[in-house]
Amino acid sequence: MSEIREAHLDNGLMVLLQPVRSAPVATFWVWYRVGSRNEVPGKTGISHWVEHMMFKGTPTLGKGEIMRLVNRNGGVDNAFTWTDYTAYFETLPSDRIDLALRIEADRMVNSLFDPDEVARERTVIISEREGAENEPRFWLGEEVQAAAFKVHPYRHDTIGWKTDLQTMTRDDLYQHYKTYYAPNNAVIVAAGDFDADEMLAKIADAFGKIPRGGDVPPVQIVEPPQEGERRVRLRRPGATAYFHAAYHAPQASDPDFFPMFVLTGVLAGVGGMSFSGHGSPGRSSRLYRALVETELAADVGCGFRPTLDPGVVEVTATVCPGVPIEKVERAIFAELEKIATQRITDAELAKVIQQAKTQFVYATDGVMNIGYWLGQMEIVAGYKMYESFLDNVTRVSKADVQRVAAKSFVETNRTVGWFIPTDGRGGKSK
Amino acid sequence: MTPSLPITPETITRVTLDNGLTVLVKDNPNNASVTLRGRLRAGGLYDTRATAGLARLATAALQRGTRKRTFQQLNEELDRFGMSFGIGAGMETIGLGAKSLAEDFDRLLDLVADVLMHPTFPRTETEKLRTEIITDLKEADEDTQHVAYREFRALCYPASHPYHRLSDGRAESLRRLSLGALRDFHARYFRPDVTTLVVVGDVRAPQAIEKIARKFGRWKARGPKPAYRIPDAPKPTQPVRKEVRLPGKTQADVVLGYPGLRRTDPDYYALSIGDMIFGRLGLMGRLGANVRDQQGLAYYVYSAVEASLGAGPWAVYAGVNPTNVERAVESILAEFKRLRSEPVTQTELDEARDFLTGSLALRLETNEGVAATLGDIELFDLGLDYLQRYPTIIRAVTAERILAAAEKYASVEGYALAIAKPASKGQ
Repeated sequence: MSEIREAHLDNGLMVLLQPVRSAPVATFWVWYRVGSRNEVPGKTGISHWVEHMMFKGTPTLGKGEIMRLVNRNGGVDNAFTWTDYTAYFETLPSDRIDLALRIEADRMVNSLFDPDEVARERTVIISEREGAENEPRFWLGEEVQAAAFKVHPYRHDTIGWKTDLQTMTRDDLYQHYKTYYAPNNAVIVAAGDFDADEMLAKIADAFGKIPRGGDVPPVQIVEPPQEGERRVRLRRPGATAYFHAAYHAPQASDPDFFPMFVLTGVLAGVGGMSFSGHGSPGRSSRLYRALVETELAADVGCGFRPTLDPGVVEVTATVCPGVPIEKVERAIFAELEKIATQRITDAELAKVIQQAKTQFVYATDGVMNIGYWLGQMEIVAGYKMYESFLDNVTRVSKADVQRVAAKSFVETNRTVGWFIPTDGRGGKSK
Repeated sequence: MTPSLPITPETITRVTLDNGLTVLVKDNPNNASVTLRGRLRAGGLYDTRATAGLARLATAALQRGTRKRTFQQLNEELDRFGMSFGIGAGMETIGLGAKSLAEDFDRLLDLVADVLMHPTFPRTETEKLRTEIITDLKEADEDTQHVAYREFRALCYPASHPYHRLSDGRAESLRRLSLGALRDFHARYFRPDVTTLVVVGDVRAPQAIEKIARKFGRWKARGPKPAYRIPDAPKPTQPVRKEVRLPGKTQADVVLGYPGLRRTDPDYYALSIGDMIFGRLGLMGRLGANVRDQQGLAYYVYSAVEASLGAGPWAVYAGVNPTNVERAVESILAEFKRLRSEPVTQTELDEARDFLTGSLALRLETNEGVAATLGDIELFDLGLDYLQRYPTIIRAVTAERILAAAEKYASVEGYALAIAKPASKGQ
């Protein structure tokens, strides 16, 4: 692959281009630097709802027309909202990629937010949340998140609280759109079969006329250090018990991010880094051996995502029916204690580095993955993190891993959630 | 029309080894990895009511220990080289997927051959697996989407048909399956003459085939091939409906549909293009436009034709608030009625056909995409020139043929409807 080309238009729009000439396909993304991190109480879920409204039409592209046009040209498109960003993409045969520029330049400023469409979408969004509510893990995750963060907006899920979804207005949504959707708060990422100079000229042509927006309100909230363990015991109907612990952890730009990345790799394996989530199984990892091989848990995982502000590292487990959840908790804490007090082995370090290297190769098969990684890295820590990712992983030492573990895995820094099933009878037929 | 098609008779090497194993290789030097996909013509269709889940458990247990590797050694080897490997039984086929860096391809092949040919079914590890699967089933029993689909299948197909059940199995039957039964399943159904391996990646075809011949050459099929037959399903003669209530839930999940057709059925292209218009294209087709966009009833509502070696279902899937279930069901039935009584518009037809032919480049961009397409070409005997013929096949589908297919499969007399919903309102 060739070098990543970085450019900036006069209106503040950042552009990152990665030509990949192996297949006649290209992917075009717009990443907005806004997500649930930018939301205030009473308006949670607003970023995600605005994302839905971006498919509801502009004066020139009617509702539903964006997806129809993209499909008709042999492409696919979608969008998603996370804590730190809202991203939109189209992947098309490369000779049709101009369509993506047209769509994205249009909806960056011209989306209508028709009040009737807002009303209809309210029930759709509530339905999206209610679907998630059918899953015990969703409830537990939401509770743990809300307890782990007292003040930082990472405390709520991107879907938002239900009462906020019931009360937010069309004007709230439109104002959010007008505040955050502007060239100076966006990053274009394109990867695939194109010439960088030509693509840049087309982007300048399509987006250059859009005026710069106002300054975006900064997120000034800093989560104060946690000074005591927090616990949540959730009691709801469910098939079995679930365990979920969260520890405050370094953000992507923190030098300790990479030791933490390696640490989670030792604990649970390097998860799927590709957009489609094709990952190493991690069945030789410490947590799998200590929890699943001993039949305490049916599965165990460790989650750590690169974030803009300090986030959390999470350990989750599905408790085997009949096993007391206390036993699962003790086994997990023992593993975290061990990694904080004893150095990992050379073989473990080498294994995680090799896994990261192979995952990176897998993740570059397909332009969509490349667009996803490049954009995500740019938002959380600058896109050069993408280029230097493997070098940084390789530089992590065993001592770094132990130091970061000893700093993070302490009782006062943890939030522990238990999902205790109140009804394990299963379904009843009528 | 597309000169750069990665799958043509000229670009694919296809060989059947002496033992009956079929191998397809596509050389792609663009990514330093190799994707291996395998498929066996065997699976849950051989399960009975008493042995439900046998194919699933026996297949998953292959990874729990082999002649050369314990479970732990196998896991260590995969993780040390960043390789991935998974194998699982579906209803019609057993599928495996594996991936490695190109430089580790020999190692990956050795491991896959060992797992397919020499599993030992060690007691302790197999029992752990059984517990994991039973926990998974317990969770599935409380999952509204899963329960709705399971009940739909039971309504849509008679008890004598394999599609009446899912290949997932049931806790009661899984508990009773002996290690001997797992060994027998492997001995009977894992054989080279029902197996296809597809290799796509940074390998040269002749070398890849030679390596596969070396690793798999001694794998022998014993006795005649087991009969492989999935019967036709009778058409529904009246509406049948079942509701299941689950505690602690907020949303109701609905599955409504009919028995569909086989992938090799002459109506396949007409029905699948009709289905794209009906519930897939754009934001979930006509169903999405009606139920989601116009009425705001559901976050998801879509349709799917599961056409495989057997006639899987053609059904609609939706998640709705419990108070809106009846409205959603009426809307879905009305859309089925429209599809079987009025031809689709020329615009709809053009949109669907353009998408199918135009999106080939996307589907064939990655090693995974090429391997999946090759796997289907082989399984359904479509021929290596299939993609060259594909635009003509798609363009031959007319509004009249779609209407006829919809009339034939979206029966006027009856349908199957399953709903899994909250036990009490306001939960």
